[in-house]
Amino acid sequence: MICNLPFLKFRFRQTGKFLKEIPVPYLVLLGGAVGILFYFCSLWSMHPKGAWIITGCAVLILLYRHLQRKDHSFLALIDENPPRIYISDYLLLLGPLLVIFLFRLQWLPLLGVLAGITVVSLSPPPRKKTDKGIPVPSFIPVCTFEIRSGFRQYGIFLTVLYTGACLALFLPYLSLFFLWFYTANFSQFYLRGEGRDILVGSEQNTTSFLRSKLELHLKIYGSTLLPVCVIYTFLYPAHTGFILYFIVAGLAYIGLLILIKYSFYHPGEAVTSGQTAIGFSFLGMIFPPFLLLIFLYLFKYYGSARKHLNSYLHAYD
Amino acid sequence: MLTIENIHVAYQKGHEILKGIQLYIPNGEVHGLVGLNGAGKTTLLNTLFQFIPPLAGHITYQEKPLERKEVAYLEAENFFYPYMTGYEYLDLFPGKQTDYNIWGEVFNLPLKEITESYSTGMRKKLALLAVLKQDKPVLILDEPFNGLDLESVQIVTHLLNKLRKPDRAILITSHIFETLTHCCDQIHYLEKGIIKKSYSKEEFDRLGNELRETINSRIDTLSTELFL
Repeated sequence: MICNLPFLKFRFRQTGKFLKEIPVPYLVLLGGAVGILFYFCSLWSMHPKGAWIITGCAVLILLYRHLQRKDHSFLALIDENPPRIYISDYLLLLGPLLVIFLFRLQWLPLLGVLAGITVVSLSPPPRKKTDKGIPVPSFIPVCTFEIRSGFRQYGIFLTVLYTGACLALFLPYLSLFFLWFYTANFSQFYLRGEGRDILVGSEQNTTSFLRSKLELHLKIYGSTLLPVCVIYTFLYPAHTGFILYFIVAGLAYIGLLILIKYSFYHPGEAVTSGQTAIGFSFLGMIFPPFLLLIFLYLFKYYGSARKHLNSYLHAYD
Repeated sequence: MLTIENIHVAYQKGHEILKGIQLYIPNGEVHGLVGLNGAGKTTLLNTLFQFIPPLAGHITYQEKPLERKEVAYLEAENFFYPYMTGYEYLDLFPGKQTDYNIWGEVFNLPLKEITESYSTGMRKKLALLAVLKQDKPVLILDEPFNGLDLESVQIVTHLLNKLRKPDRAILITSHIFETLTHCCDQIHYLEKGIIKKSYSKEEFDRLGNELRETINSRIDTLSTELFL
């Protein structure tokens, strides 16, 4: 048996429990987002080119999820053959896409997704931390320690995604999908609170701390996004509006992550709150109707970040 | 001089942790703070660094209200950031340009490596270096000897004596009483939110004996309750 049936059952139960616990308004929004995603996938998969783009994106999401999961060691303990569990998990995750491809009779992309699932599941878990990590480019300032640390941690994957975005410029939208995942990875840099001494080290009050933090980080993120976006605009002038939207939404998304980090800041601890806002804003990067939601979240978390940080930085007022 | 006058602190209404702390630390002196767990040592240090606003009382330095910019604070627990190197951590703090390589050698710290590969003692030494770099007139060190090996304890003790300057006041807490007797001019005994007694250098032996007696009598009471 390739799949692990008990694990599949467990995942179904877990999904059911997750859905039951989501408040109704969010459930409606989530349902809407999934519906839109399903609709677009179904629409684009009518043509082989669109189906292949979706396949590429789906495998990328899968690879990202595989590298991010924290249960590699645990799964190796509970099952002699962990790839069986990965395959079960990923079949469930990409099940709707397989159904769409079946319905559209896109056999080759369907096989592509299945091959992607197999390759990702059989790929070795990420390496453990090294003493020095990956060398960080010297142009990244020391005060943007989240970016330096993040690059050291995810640098290889970020480089792969960025190179993918550059190489995929010959196809419409594909390089933007790469940049979307690049942004998802970039946002991981802000999911942990630094030590209290680091926070107060800059000796700034709350307003100037938040302003300089947002300014510097968005500048760096934006400057990495810009070259690909400019070339893309030259190649596909008809997409200029969407590109502008993508840049604005991307900057807002990274800004939101920084604000969420400081809204729930606790020294040395992982930021686990604000996941709904993060999820919707991430989707909002490619679905324009969500932009307003991202900005609402930005306002909300700017206020709470200010309030929370003030308890640490009020002495510099 | 660092002056702490009649400081009251409470986390909840009606439940005071500090009940009128009175301390005077002249410049050029190193003062120690001892007390059993829960006596209020860290609360006092957090109040000095203005993380906690006092209910009442004044903290002044050179007869002006103490500002956070005048204080460097070494916390008992030290957090860094994942995949941050020792050099990067030190660069985050304001202060004079320093040759970190010499510090790294003196403290035996691999500053080029990420902090996750550091032992507890190494982390403590790195955080202490950041405090030293800031070169502030008031130093507050919460458990600077925690997790240090024998050699590092010697180095830190030596450093503290070097840090003694005519324009600097230093306050240290430590659970290891002997580490304080080697570097302090005065040690204050904190009990239930008040400074119960202050001891000068000549009285350190007496303080040691009194502390041991207090702890032994607590153990006796507890063991009586547990076993009889």
